Amino acid sequence: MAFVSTATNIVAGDTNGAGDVFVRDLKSKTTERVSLTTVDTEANDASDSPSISDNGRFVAFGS
Amino acid sequence: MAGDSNGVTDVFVRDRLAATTERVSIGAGGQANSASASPAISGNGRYVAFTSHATNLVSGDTNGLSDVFLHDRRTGKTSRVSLSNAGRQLGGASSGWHSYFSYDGRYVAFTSFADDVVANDTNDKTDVFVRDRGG
Repeated sequence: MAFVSTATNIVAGDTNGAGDVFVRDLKSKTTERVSLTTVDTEANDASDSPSISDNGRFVAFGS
Repeated sequence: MAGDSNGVTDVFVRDRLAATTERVSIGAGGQANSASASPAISGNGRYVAFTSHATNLVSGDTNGLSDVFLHDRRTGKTSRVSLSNAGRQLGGASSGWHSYFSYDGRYVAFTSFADDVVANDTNDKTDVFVRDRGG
C-alpha cells in the first residue's frame, strides 16, 4: 500500500522537510520511499496523491 | 528532476523494480505550462490519468479549464480524456480526482462539472462519467 507522510523517521536520510510518498510491503513488512528523483535522491519539495499499480511495481504521485 | 523548470506541480511515476522515476505530465510540446495533480495509474501500470490546468499538453486545448489527461508510458503520448461523446472539449471543469481505471486502461472514470459531456445533462451539478478509450 502507498501512503503520504511528513514523518522524517520512516526511512533513513529523509531530510527534505517535506511530505513524501512511501510504499509499505505488507508481506515483507518493509517500507520504502518512492518520491525520489531519477538518480534516487530525495525530492526537493512535497509529494502527495499516490496511486499504485495492481502488482505494486509502479507508483504515480504528484510533486 | 532534470529539466523540471515549469515551477508547478507535476505528476511522476516511480518504477520500484527498476528504481527509476519519470515525469508523465508532459505533452508533445514538452513540460506542462500549468499545474498537474491527482494521478491514477492503471492496474497494469501502463497508463496514468491526471488532472491539469495546462493548455499545451494536447493541441486544441482552448477551454481554459482543468481537464483530465492520460499518458501512455509505453508510447510516451498524452491525450485528453475529458471529451464529449462527439469528441469535443468540454465547457466545464473536469477532474481526475479519485479517477478509476479498468486494469487495461480502456475505461477511465472522471468527474466533470461540464453539461456537454453527454446529452440531457441538465442537473447543473458535477457528475461522474466513464470514457471508453476503445479496445
